[in-house]
Amino acid sequence: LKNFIMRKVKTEQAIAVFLAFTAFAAGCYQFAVAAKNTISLTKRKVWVNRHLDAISRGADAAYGEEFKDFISFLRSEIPDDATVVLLRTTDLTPYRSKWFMQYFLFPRKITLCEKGDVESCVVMRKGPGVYFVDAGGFNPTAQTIEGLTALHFNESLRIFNPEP
Amino acid sequence: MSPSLNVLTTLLIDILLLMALFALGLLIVRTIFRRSDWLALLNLSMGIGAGVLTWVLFIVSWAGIVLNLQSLIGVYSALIVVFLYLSKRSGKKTSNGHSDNDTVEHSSISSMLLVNTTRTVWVLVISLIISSVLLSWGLSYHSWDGIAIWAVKGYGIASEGSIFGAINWGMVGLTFPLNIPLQVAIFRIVDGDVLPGSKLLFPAYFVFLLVGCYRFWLKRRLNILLAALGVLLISSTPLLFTHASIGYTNLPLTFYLISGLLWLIEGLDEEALNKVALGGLLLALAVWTRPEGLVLWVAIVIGVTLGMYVVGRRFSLITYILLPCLVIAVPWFLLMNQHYTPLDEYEASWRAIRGIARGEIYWEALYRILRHLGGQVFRFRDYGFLLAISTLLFCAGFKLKRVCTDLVRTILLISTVMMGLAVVGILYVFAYPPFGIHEVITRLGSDFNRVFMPPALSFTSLAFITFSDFIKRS
Repeated sequence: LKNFIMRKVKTEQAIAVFLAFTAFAAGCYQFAVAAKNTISLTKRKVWVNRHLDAISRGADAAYGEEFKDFISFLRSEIPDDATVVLLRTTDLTPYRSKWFMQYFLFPRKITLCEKGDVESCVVMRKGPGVYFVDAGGFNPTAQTIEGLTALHFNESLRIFNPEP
Repeated sequence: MSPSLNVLTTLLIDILLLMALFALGLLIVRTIFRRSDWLALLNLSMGIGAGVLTWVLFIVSWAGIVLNLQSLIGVYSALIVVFLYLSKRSGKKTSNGHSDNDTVEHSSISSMLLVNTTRTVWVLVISLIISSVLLSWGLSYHSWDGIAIWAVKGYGIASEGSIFGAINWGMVGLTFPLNIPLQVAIFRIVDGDVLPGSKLLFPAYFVFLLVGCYRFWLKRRLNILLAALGVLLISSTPLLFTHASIGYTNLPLTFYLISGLLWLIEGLDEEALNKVALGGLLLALAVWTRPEGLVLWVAIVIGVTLGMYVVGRRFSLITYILLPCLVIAVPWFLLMNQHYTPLDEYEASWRAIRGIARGEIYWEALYRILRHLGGQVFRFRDYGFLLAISTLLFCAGFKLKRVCTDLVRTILLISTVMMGLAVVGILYVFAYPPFGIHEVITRLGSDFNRVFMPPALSFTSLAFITFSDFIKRS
């Protein structure tokens, strides 16, 4: 049998078949991993959010349900032509980035407060059509928020609207 | 109108929009390469159509014309008319030619087992493509660059009706090329991008990249099963599959670079001027897609020139590579220079050039980058088994004599090495003060793997044809 095999199967042929099979097996394994991730993401983020708009689906996929709901809250409370000021009193990335919020709150104009001097930033910028987003860590004096109305989304997230 | 009907109408508009980009590209490809086969058209049409349209929109907007639905239809119609006319003219010149289909030879597979395996592989590949479309649409824009650069810039351009909208909307001002933001802007202008339809662009580039590799392998007379296996291996690679749905532009860049390189090689091998021109156009569109496109374009041009020199062939078609890049890149760099936003990447590059000129080399940074690169061969997370399998296939079939005499293999090998060195260089520049080794380590984790996509796929393309040589020998 051994002689028969040695005659019939050249080493190189065996290597070629082995490598081709290895490539096939590797492709199948990678496929299984991709399929598993797809099914998981589809169940958690695509199917449950199928009734939502693109912004809300993206917000949920990026930072979860609370972020998605807060973005919906901001979009419903702040008019399209308003200016939104991010106070940046928190370390949470999505509430600190002008560019990130530009997408989720489009077409509203987004600006930032300089680090460390939030009180004077609010005093200087408040006015008609200017909304402040506080994602926690901002404890203003009554004088600072004079002329603004606080609207709470939850314990840590709120906006300051200009009084009509 | 009910919400579900609204979604269906928008989806239909988005599909029509993709088909319109495809149709424009088809005319352009037919103008340059009359006898193109259907795989070539599928590979090239949308990428070229979208790239050329966005570049013309960029020029039109720079000239002061407002970008809105009317100007978009006007520019698109004008391009269709021009290329319809040119395509007819080029058709008359080459009307006695036969289709390029004739030269694509499919190796015969007699065994039913092989036929069934090939079918299974295609079923898996198609499932992956459908999954990427589903995820891309379903998750919308959800990753950092997709949100903070590409999508919001497109929306800004559409909202302000000008490319200068990109200065105030999204990161990095006007420092990143506008090919993808303008494609997103087209969707925003036409239907508000409510699905978002522009996210379908990314799986589309994924498919056209796969088609490009598959066609190249068939042209090199690879067995259909082996070519299909290559496509499965690429499409299921974790990093590539993820990038088909997250809205980053590394995959479109990889499409332009790899398709451009493969067409260039094919054109040089057959001494077909039109194929070289197509390759040159695709490589130029890579420069119009991402900032590192220019660095990788230079790497490929060096690779091609060296390859031609090694095999002893005269390289007289360089104009067809340089000209499209000059036409597309020069206006863009002129505009970018006027509205320059300081970027770490550019500052680091200048500091590195000055440091290298003084003889300063940071060996630890180089060691870390090369160790990370070597680790990718064995680490599953990003490149799966792609680099490991490609290395095995390449080693099995590698013959130095063949590489030094065959133009296709030589250029692919040298271009892969040059692109790999370019990617290492892109990261290494951060080793110089004030950035330092910590910046290099951070970027190794965040940027390196996605920037490495083009050399990885170039290497895979080479590995499969080398392995095919091995099979034929055995």
